[in-house]
Amino acid sequence: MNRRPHLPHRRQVLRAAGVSLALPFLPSAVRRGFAAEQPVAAAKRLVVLSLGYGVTSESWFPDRSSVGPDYVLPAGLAPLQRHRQRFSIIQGLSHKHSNEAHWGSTFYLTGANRYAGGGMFSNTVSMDQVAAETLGKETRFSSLQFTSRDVVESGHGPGLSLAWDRQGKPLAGLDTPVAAYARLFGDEGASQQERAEMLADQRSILDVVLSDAKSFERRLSAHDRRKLDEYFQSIRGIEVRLAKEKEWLGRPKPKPGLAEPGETLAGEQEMRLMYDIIVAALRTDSTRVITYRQPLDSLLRSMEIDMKAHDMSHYDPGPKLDASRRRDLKQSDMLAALLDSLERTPDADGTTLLDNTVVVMGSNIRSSHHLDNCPTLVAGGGAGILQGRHTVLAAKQTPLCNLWLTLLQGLGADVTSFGDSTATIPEIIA
Amino acid sequence: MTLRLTTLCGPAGLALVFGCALLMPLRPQPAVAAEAVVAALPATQTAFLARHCGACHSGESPDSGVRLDTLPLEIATNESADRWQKVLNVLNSGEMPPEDEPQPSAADKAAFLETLAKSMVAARRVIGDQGRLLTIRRLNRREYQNTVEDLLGVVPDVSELPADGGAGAFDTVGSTLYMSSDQFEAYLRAGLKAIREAGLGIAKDAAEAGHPSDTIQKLHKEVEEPVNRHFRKWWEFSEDSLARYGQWTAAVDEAAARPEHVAQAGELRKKWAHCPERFYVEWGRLVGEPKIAPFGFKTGGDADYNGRSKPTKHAPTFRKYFALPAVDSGAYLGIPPLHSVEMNDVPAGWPAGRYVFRYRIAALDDAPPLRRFVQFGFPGTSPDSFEIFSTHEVTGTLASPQVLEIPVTISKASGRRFGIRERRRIMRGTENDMFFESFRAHGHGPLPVLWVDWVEIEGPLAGPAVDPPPAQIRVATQDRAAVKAAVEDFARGAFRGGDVSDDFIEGLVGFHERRMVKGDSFTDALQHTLAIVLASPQFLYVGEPGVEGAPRPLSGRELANRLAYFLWSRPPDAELVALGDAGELAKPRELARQVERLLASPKADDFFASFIDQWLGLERLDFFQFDRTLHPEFDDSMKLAARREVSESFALLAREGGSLRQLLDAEYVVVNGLLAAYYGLEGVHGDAFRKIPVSSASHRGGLLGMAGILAMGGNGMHTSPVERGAWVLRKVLDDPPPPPPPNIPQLSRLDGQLLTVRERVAMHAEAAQCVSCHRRIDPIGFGLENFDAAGLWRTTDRVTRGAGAKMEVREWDIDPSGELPDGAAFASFDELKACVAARPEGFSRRLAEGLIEYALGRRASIADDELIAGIVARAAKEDLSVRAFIQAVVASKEFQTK
Repeated sequence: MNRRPHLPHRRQVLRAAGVSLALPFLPSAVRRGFAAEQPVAAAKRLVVLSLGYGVTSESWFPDRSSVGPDYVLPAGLAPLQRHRQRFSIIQGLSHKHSNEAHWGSTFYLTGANRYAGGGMFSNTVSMDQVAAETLGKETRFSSLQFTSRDVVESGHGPGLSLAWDRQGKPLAGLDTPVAAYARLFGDEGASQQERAEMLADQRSILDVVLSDAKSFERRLSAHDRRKLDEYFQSIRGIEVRLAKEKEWLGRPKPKPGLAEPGETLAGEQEMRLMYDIIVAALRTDSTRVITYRQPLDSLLRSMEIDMKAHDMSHYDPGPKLDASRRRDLKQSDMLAALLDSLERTPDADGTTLLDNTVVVMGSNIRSSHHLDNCPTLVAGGGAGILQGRHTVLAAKQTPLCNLWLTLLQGLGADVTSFGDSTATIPEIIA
Repeated sequence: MTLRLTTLCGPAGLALVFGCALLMPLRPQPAVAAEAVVAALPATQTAFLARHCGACHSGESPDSGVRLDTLPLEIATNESADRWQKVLNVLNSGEMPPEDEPQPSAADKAAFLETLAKSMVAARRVIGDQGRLLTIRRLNRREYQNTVEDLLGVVPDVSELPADGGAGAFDTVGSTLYMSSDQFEAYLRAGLKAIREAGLGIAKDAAEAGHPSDTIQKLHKEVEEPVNRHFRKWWEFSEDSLARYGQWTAAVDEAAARPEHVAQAGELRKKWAHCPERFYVEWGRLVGEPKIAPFGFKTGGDADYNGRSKPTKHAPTFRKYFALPAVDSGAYLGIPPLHSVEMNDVPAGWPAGRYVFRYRIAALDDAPPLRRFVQFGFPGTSPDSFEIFSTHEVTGTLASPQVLEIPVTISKASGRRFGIRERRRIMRGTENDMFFESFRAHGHGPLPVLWVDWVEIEGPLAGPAVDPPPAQIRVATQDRAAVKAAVEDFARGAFRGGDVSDDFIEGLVGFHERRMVKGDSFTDALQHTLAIVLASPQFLYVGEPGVEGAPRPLSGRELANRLAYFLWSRPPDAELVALGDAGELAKPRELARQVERLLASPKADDFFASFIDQWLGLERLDFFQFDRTLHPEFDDSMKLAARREVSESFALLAREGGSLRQLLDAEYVVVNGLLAAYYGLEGVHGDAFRKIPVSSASHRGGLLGMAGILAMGGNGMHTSPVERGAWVLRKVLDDPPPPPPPNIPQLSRLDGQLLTVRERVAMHAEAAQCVSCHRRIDPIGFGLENFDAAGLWRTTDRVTRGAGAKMEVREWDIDPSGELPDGAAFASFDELKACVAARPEGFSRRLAEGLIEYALGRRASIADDELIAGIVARAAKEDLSVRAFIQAVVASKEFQTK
């Protein structure tokens, strides 16, 4: 059996005068990030921020009777007032298979049934990765996963980031602003020639390990081979990336317009910096799909709240509820700043980044152990979602995957279903 | 097999007709394990479904498309499990039956839910059964670290690798150990770093020529010199500031008494009557006479802060400090403004390696027992970022100080600054709070009790002998043959007896050549080449070749590997490999002897700690912060010690051949000085955990009396009888309650009421859907109420409302009486413990099951019930000896077969 991954066919990379470069089937690919060329139409983008242990139900959600464009902004979203025309709140979404009250992120973008694989845990592809298959073709990075070192106690659950690949395996995330910056903008410290050699080097590393993998595999049972297949898949993933890097070899990484993070920060500082990096990544069109599994426990530390995040999520009137409300306000404030930045950043054709990006913020957990009515905030114009509204869906248990499907279609992905979706959600489509 | 809802008679028009039995009991008995996967739901329960659901949810066009009459009764597929889960959920949430329909009686509903919920627990076990196939699996992060350490003699940096486990399975269970592209690259980087650190591939003569580690260096520092000089200056300055402030305010008073100022002064004094010192600030601002500069202050505000506020706190603290004994010859560890951390660096020029830190240290004679401990670790940049490596008891006295020795290993990349401080919490604001508590009570900051004379750092020191010794890739000549030999040698060691193919070696040699051509130095190229070996499948995966459907006994080497990864989480040592290769491990007696040898080795500590942590779910201790006011002594050091008591107790049983019963009830505890002081046990000193006899009056001895176990059952402030009860059912009695249903509303109507724990819990359990589980869970939790949320004994409990003078308090005597689900009644904690200890069957089954999962790297399945019963039976012959459990697992066919 030939396990050697089938590489996407190599595109001819033409370089002329060091500026123009043509990838035949990607007319829009190159223009971005190259001032010399005029963009044609703005690209669509997706950003997902996950909240771990959810929100304060009583003050984060608008009143269920106050719907439509004139809804009363609830206290927990007050800092977003200046953007109220640019985001919507949707109530009534949940994943029907959810049963883990401490896993806010594991199935958030997948909607998987953890038992479906036959064992005690399995997952399926996440929405962002499906989006990346369409949106990621033209950028240096198909997608980027950001996460934090503080995830264990933040209510995210198993996984390495919000993203899961087509095999339902977790994708690793960059867990500090330093790492995110380095991946996006870091100096590769080498000439093009050297970079090319490094790529070749990496290729030959893969060849060597594959030779061991194959001799190992030959002696394994079919069952074991399936396990070893994960190893082959990981190598294949690198090969796909190397092929992409090769395409991008002639082009230096863009300037981020952002100071290089000097140290590892925590909590609020870390999150604000990550938001800046998200904006820089989108602005330089380094990627169009970003997910961020946010720290929560350390956010509380940075707000001088001496309470574990899990504890806070089981709030009752008193210090826990106060902490939970303060956290909502802080999160809303940070999100408002992110939307500010996106709005300030001009995009192609005279629009702004916010016009072309959809920002989703939410969690599989509403609050405490509640897994219904997942908090859902959708901002920006990237996926053609009605903005400035509060929608309470008629069906209380509308699959969250219906929203993911709606977003995917709005972003231009050619999909007719996602996860356990039953339909799109017409009432939120602009 | 389907559930048929057939119209027969009666007002509901429905009755249930069963073609066959359905839902299975919780645990099939081992003897009938093979066929016992299907059992009957009592007719009374199924009638419930027909009566309350059948009218709408049956027939061709059921409501909401939910049809129950064709729903398979046997929960054997995910689909049917999902359906039944939904039934469970809507009943739990009260959504069904609809409000305007007749409601079931509370008792009927509770009984039905209990049966269905239990069946779901069992069904997940059946459906989750992935068979008993043993598959290869990736090394988890611990094992990777240990394996590289054994291979290279240096501990690799694994911070880039994802932590394993967390999906509710042991971190050795292969199905949860993934591999990803990023991870592959992280392995390459981590491997290369470790190889460089180990100096592999350095040319032979360079390696032999005087290694820097040959020279042992030593640094000695008298602590009092820098520390006390600094404090003395600060003290003098504080006293001086106070004096100048006094002179200034006296001068202001004098000026204010002058006729031209009397009126204004009177007005200002009146205005600031509630805060008299503010008068001087305002006077300085508004009047400015006398001039303030001669008193050494810039403004009235400056004088108030630097001349009054600060020195009022600092001066008395320093006065007390410099009155302490032996302050001329040492410095004390305290909290700011005193010396809060003694920090020292391993000098930059010293090579990576093993060092020892020595502190000549003593505690004042009147130091309370719980203040005789220091934390050692990375000091971090602020008090709340101190990273604790270890906690040590100070047993020295001023008359006879001790020398505390702490070994450290530093790598090229690791930090070199280490600190020692008096034990306290790593929490923002702690030091501030401590200071002000003392200041308000005594007029000065907390007085230190730990005295440090000097610090020494010495090294690098030789490490302990390792067998086999770490890989020493030294190449005499730089030709192809030498490279090939070196690479092959390394790969053989790294692959633990696995097959090293020619293609692989040729590929590696080719890679080395490539790097050389590219301009790498010989050594650099070789190090990169060797790093590939550490990212190759046969290094990263444990497991044996095999053929589907044709089980074979493991070879000697394979058995050695499996045994070592089970009990050491690392590769076998030379002795085990030799025995394996010689076929000696096939002899049961030799194999058993090796199990004992492995368990006795310190290398087994990793197994004990990891197994126990995961088996008993101790990670929950990380879920919350322990309240400093309510549980002042349960800081991070104590939490670690309490957690370790659990694994040390288990290790002791495994090593000494003790019975598992002793984990349920024992006349001893396994503690160190810190935990002994916490438990109030006198005369136990030092940092080593050891067996200490206790009387029954101590209520200690056995898991249910361990602070670490009890502390898990709460939220860091208050106890949770529900958490504790569920834990005992799940982990000890092997009678797991179903997981708490999601979306149960919190009882906000109870907020602000002064309720006892029993009252509060009773309200939680009053709904029919709750009571079925809570009546089994809660009484056990009540039986543990004599321990507070940090595991200390108490006889009363209290609840408060409001604060300050208006605070309302309700206090009550704890009533620990209750009964186990099987009806056994207990009147006290001691009786509860005795009841649980008299039922070791479930606990034994759980141990056998846990060991199987951990050792075989796969979930235990229904089909393992026989194996589990066999292991328990064998251990029962030796009074449930923990070692016998482990021996039985190793002796099993499953362990020795691929």
